[in-house]
Amino acid sequence: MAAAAILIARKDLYLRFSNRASLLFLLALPLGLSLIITLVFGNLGEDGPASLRDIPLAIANLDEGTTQQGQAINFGDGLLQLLGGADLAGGAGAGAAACTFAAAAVSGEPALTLNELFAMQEVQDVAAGRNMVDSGELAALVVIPADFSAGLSPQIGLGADTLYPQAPAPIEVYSDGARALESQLVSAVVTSYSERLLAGNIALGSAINALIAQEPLSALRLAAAGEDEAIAGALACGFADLAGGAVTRLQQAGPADEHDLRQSTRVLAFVGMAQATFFALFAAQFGVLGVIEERQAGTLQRILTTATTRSAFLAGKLLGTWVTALFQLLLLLVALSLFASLIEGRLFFLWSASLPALFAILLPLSLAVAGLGVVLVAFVQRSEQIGAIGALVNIVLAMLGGAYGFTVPEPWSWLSLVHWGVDGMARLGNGDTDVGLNALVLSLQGLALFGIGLWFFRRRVEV
Amino acid sequence: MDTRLAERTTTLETLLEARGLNKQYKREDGSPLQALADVDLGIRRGEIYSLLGPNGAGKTTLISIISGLLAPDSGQVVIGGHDLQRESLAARGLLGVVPQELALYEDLSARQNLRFFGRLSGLRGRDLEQRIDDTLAFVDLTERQRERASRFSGGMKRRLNIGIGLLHRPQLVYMDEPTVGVDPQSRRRILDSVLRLRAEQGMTVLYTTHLMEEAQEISDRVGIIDHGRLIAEGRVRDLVLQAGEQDRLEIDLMDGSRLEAGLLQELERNLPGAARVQLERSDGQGRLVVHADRGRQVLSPLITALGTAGLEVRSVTVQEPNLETVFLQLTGRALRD
Repeated sequence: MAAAAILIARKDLYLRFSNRASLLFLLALPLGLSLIITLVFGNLGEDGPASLRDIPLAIANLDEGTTQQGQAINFGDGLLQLLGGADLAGGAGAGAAACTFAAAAVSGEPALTLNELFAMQEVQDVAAGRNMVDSGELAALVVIPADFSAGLSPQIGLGADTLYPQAPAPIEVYSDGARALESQLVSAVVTSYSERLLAGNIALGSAINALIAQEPLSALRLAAAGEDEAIAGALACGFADLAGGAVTRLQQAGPADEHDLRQSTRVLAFVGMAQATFFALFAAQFGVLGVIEERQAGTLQRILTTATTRSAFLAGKLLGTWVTALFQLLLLLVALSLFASLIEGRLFFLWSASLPALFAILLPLSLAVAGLGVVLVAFVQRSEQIGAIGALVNIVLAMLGGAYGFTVPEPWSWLSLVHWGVDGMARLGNGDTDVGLNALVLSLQGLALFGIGLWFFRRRVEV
Repeated sequence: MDTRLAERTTTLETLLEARGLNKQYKREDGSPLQALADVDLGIRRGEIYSLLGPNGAGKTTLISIISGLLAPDSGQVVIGGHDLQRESLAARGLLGVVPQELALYEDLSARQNLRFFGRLSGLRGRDLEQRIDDTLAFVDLTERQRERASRFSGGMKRRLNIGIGLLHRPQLVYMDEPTVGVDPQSRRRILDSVLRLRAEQGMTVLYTTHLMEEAQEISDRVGIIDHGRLIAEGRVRDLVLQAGEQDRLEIDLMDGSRLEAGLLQELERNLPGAARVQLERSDGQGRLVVHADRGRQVLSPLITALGTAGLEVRSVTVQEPNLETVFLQLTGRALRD
C-alpha cells in the first residue's frame, strides 16, 4: 500500500510542478494575494502606533510591599499606575523632584502615552482575570506577586554581603496567544519596568553599601537621614527609579535583535502567516480537483483495477497534497521574511527561533490541510462543486482562525486548523518554541480528517 | 471463497466465473432498478468472449463488478481461482483493463504512462523496462515513446490505452470497445492485436463492442445481455441456429419476366431445405429470393433448375444470418439503439 501511495504522490507532484498553470495557481497567486491582503489588513503603509490603542489589560496586584529606610514601598502599585498611564512624577508625593518620570518623546516626536495604549482595569481575582483572557475579553493579565517589592529591594547596611539574598519573584503576563502583538507590548512594558527598577536598585544599593564599607559611620548618618521625610522619600524614589519612560513609543529607533521588530514587521508576520495558511487551504482544493479529474479521465478507475486499494490511492493523494502544501507554506514564509527584511533593512528569517519547532508546526499544519482535502474528496463529486464548497469551507476556517484580521473567541477558534497553525507560528515569531500543543492538535486534526475522508470515500464514492 | 466454485473454476479451465450476480440501483424517484438479475457467466482460458448488449442492458454494471470497481448485492466472481471479494488484490492482479475512454495521463509520455501503471501492477526494475519495450513495440509506439500523450493522434492514444492494459501480461484482459472513434487502418491493427494476444500469449479476452462484424470476426463465443439478464451465450453459429434464422439467396436473372408462377411453386416444393421462394420485380428486372436453412446446399440444384427452365442467371448472393439479426430477434432492438 505504501509503495502505491508513494508512486501516486510522486506522479501527482511531477505533474503539478511540471505544469506552469499549476505552479501559478499554487505558488505565485497566493504569494501575490497574500502580500496584497497583508498590506491592506496590516496597515503597513501607516507604520505607527495609531493602529494600536486601548489594548484591554487587567492587573492583579498581589504585591504586599516592603519597607526601605523606614518608608513603605510598593513597586506593584508603581506598575499599576504606570500601565494606567498615571503621571508618576506628579503622583509620587515627597521627593518628586528626584523622581522625574521620563515621559518625553524620543527624538522629539510625539509620544503615544501608556494611557492611550492600554485600557487597564484592576482585578482582585487572578482566576477570573485568566478567564477574561481565555474568553478574548482581555489581551493580557499581569499578575504581580505578593513578594514583588520585597524581592526587588536590596539589602543595605553593614554586613550586607549581597544585595539580593533571594531572586526577585517574576511578574506573570498571561496573554492571549491569538493577540500576539498586544500581548508582546504588555510584556515589553512590564519587562522594561522590572529590569529598569532592578538595575536602578542595584546601582543605588551598591553605591550605598560601598559608602558604608568605606566609612561605617555613614550608616548611622543614613539612618538618621532616614528620619527626614524628604530624604527618605528621595531614597525610596531612587530605589524605585520608575522607568516608565522606557515605553513612550511603540516604535523604537531600530531593532536591537530579531525579537525587537517594527510594528509593521510584526503585523506582516502575523497577518502574513494567517494568509499563508489560508492560501495553503487551496492546496487541499487542488488535491480534490486531482481526484475528480482522475475520476473523469478514467485513470482513477484504471488505477483501482490494478492491485491498488482505495486507501492506497487516497493516501497517495494525501501525500502529494501534503508535500505541496508544505512547499507552498515554506515558500510563503521565505517570501514574507524577505518582505520583512526589506522593512527592517537587514536580512533575516522571521520564524528562526527554532527550525525544529518551525517544522513541528508546518508538517502537521500541511498534513491537516491535506486531510481537509481528503474530506472534501468524499463530498464533492464534480469539479464545479469544488469552487463553491471548497471556498466556503476555506473562508469559514480562515475566519475562525483569524486570517481576516479579527479573532473569533475560543473555543470556536479551536475548531480551525488555521487558528492552531497561526497561533503556533505567532509563538515562534515571538521566540516562544513551546508549540507542542499546536503540533499535536494539528496532527490529530490531519489524521482525523483523513480518516473521515477515507471512510466516506470507501463507502460512498462511486467510481 | 466458495471452495467448490474455486475448484470447479480450476478444473474446467474457466478463467473467469461469475455466478448469481445481482445488482439493484435506485432511480431518482426512489424506485428500484434491477441492473443485473442472476447473471451467470463463464469465460474459458484462451478464448475471446464478446459481451453484447444495448445501452442500459447491464453490460457496464457487469463489467464494473468483474473489474472490482463495484460490489454486487449478491453473487460471486472468481478470477483464476481467486474470489474477487475476498482475495481482491490477487484476483485483480490477473486482470488487465482497456477502458473505452482513454484512461491515461496526457502530460506524461507514452513510456512514463506505461512505467506508472506497470509499477502499480507490481513490476520493477529491468523486468518493467523490458515489458515497456515489448509493449511499445506491440502497439507500435516505440518511435514516439518519449513524446507526451497529448501530442498523439486519436489512434495512437488508443493504442497506448491498450498497451497500458496489457503491460503486466494479465491472464484476462477486458477491452471495452477499443475501436471506437479510430480510422479503419487503426481499427484493423487493433483487431489484429487482439487476435495476436490470444495466438501468441494465450491471453483470454473479454471484449465489448457495438460492431457486430467485429464480434463475429474475433469472438470464440458471444454473450448477449439485456434487461440485466444474460439471454443468450455461445458460438456465433450456434446462436444463429438457436435463433432459427435462415440463409437468404438472391438470384438476379437476365430476364425476370420469363419466370412463371408455376416454376416458383415447383422450386419451393422440390428444393431441399428451401422454406420460401418469391420473385421481386423492378424495372423489368427480376430477382428470385430463396429462404433456406442451408443456403449453399440449395444453390447448386437451384441454378440447375433455372437453367433447365431456360433462365439465365446474372448474379448470385448468399446472405447468411448474422449476429445483428440474432440480436434483433432476441432483444427487439438493434445493438446501436
